[in-house]
Amino acid sequence: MNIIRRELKTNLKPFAFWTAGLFILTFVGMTKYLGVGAEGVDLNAISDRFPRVILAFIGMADADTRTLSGFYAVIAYFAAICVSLYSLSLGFNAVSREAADKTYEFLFTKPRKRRDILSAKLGAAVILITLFNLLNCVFPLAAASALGFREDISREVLLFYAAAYLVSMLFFSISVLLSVLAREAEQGARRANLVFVFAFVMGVVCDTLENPGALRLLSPLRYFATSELLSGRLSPSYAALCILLTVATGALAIRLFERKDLTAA
Amino acid sequence: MSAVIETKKLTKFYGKSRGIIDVDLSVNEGEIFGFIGPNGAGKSTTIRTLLGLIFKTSGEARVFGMDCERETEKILRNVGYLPSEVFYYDRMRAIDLLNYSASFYGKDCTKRIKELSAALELDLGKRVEDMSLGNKKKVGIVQGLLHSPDLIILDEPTSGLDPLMQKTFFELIKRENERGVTVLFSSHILSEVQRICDRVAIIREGRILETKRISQLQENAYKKVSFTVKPGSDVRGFSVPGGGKFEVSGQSVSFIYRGDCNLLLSAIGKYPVLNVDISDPPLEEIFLHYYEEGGGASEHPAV
Repeated sequence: MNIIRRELKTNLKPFAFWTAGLFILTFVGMTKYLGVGAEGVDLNAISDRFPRVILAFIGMADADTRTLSGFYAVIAYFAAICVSLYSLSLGFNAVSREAADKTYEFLFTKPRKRRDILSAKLGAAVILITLFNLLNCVFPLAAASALGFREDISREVLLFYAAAYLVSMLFFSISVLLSVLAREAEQGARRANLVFVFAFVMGVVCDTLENPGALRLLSPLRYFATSELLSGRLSPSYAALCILLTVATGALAIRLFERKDLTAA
Repeated sequence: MSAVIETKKLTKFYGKSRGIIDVDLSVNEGEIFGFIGPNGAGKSTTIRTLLGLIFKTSGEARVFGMDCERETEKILRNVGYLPSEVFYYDRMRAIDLLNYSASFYGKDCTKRIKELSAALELDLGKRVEDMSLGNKKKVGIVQGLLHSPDLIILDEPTSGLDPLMQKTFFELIKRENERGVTVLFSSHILSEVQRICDRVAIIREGRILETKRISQLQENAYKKVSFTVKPGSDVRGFSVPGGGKFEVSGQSVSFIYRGDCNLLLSAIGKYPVLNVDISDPPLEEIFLHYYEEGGGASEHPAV
């Protein structure tokens, strides 16, 4: 419990920073929709002029931006990237922060099993990811209410929130595993970032293809396609895959960490 | 007397790099055991293996009769550790860090924290990041001792401490030892080990060269000696049994010496001496001498 409390305290400042970013992204984005609607701009007409790869890059490939839900889907796309990146950083920090700061000799010479110490750190990170995702759900609903939109997007918000939560947890456990496997602390962070960039690029590739098929498996960012979520469907098979991969990767990471040589970064 | 620390053929390689090879150590209950060797000799690797921070390549390592890899948690309940370089959570005040440390042992350490901090003149209200290296080291000493461990492992503990604080530190360690605590004291400073330890193991390039009592060590220890005589005196023919590597420069003579100090002083006393300096040679020099003589540990003890 003492480790969880300390981890939460240490991560409070970055959490506030990320929260502020998410808040600005959501509220500014939603306000933009208000402005676009008031000026009578047809974003679809503009976006039709762009190549599909560009639209995929900015998350507009499958979204009808004339509707609030479609416009929100674009914001949710960036929010998903935001929560995934935050989760990656938490995963890396949970495993490697002590080595990078050279405080590992203090903590890991205390009478606690390594598994318990890492589990406590991961537990604290999961609490923060969950809170951050909850805010990702609360902010758009609050923005829609504050800006007086008539269209009800609560179903879409919940579905995009659930998708982002599942995907961010997967990125978190991937980051944890890569950090455990890395010899140097920074190496884990670099590899986790590379995996994210790869997943992002594969997501763009998937969006440009008519039928991406198995390629979709390589990009957690596209496990839950915008078109499916907008039609009210959260793929149960991809949800199960996400949970399975998260649990398996996390369990493997904890097991490997128990036999890892702890040295300074 | 039972062994608190026991290693048999303990070997650690970092990939292809040598850590330690076939290290045999036996530290008895209640003794202060010195572990001495130059930087990179394998002292910290041995200690980190004992603490379960790194995993051995082969061999055996036991503390309190328990396996260092399988029963690390149980072992660490009764071990206090002070690393050579102390790194703590910067934004924490010393008292918060020590309370955090105490929280792992499930006992009230408040009184002990106060006692130790008072002895070391440590300001508990100060943030770690605002502390000097010496003060951080003091925090390290308190956090290593606050739970009254049965075994204290010190890895080059005096770096950063001023001479007065070193004295206080040694007194603290001796007091702990008097209540039955076993101490493993790693250092590359020979005089430090001689000052406090009962026995000593000498490690070089990952291998234990010798383990002996401090009294034996002192009998066989080489000293660096130099003296200067009054102008006009001729010291070119100076010699003393047990001395070697004589160098004469003007009115000064320097040499290394092993043997009876009284014989040395009477030999020097034959000259009109202005100044005499007798000191421990640096560890590297001792090892160099050890190998130059080429006889190995049993034939020509290094220190």
